[in-house]
Amino acid sequence: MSESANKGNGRKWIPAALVFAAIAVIFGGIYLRFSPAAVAGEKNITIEVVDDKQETAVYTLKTDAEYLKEAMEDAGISVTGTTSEYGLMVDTVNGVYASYSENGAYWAFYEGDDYCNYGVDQQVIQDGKTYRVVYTLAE
Amino acid sequence: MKRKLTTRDIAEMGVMIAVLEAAKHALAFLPNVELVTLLIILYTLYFQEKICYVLSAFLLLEGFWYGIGIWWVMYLYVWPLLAWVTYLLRKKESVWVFSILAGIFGLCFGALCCIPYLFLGGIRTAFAWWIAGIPYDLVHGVSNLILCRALFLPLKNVCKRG
Repeated sequence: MSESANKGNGRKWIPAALVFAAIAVIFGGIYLRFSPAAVAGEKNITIEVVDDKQETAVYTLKTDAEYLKEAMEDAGISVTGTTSEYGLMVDTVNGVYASYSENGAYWAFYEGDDYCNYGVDQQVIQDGKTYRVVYTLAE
Repeated sequence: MKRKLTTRDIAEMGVMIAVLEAAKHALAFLPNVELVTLLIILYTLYFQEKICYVLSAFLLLEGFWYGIGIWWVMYLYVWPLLAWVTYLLRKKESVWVFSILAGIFGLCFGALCCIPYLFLGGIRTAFAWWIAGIPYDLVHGVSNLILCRALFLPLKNVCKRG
């Protein structure tokens, strides 16, 4: 690969750059079209918290919250963690601490039986759904 | 590999793996901004078959370091796929080709990584998992393109001295 080829090379890179831009635009469009949107207004939801002793606390509530973290706080569930680029990384729920590096455990979040794909402060809640927060030992 | 590995080859691969790991950990605090893509492209272009050994060691080290999980299964095919596509493009001369390859690889990283979820949870789960990560894939793609365009030539010169 010559230096001149690297620096110049005409405009051969333009089609590839257009492919890159097209993929980025298409993916962005898919995200805007299919990512769940927050819903305003009152919702009836259930939150189940399964702690490190496998004891389950059930919270049924009406909330105007749009995201799971706010709904948990409305239910009186304490949630703390560290803020990262990905959102809140939860390590403590109702005073129970889980850390993959320290005790080989983490808090798993489910909407129904499906694992939540978003962080707790980005997970949109929907009327009538059950959310589960489970202390989970890493395998 | 047709010829036997020499001590120099093994030492060289040790340095390549060390640089790969160091670069990965150095940028770990920036989600989806990484130099692994660029290094694998360069290693494939300038160290040819040694990339097979380097990738194997890299994958094993990552598994030992972070624990074997589903993400590790994804790594088993996404990084070798990048090396393979780079190998197919090895005769191209423009740095832009490899910069855009790095960019497209970053954009498609989530789509490639959602494949195991097709088998674990079906198409709905895989699609939802991919959608959730698209903003990070966009960051990954753009940062890969910029880093590769900026660093390809200086790092290429280092690799050619190897």
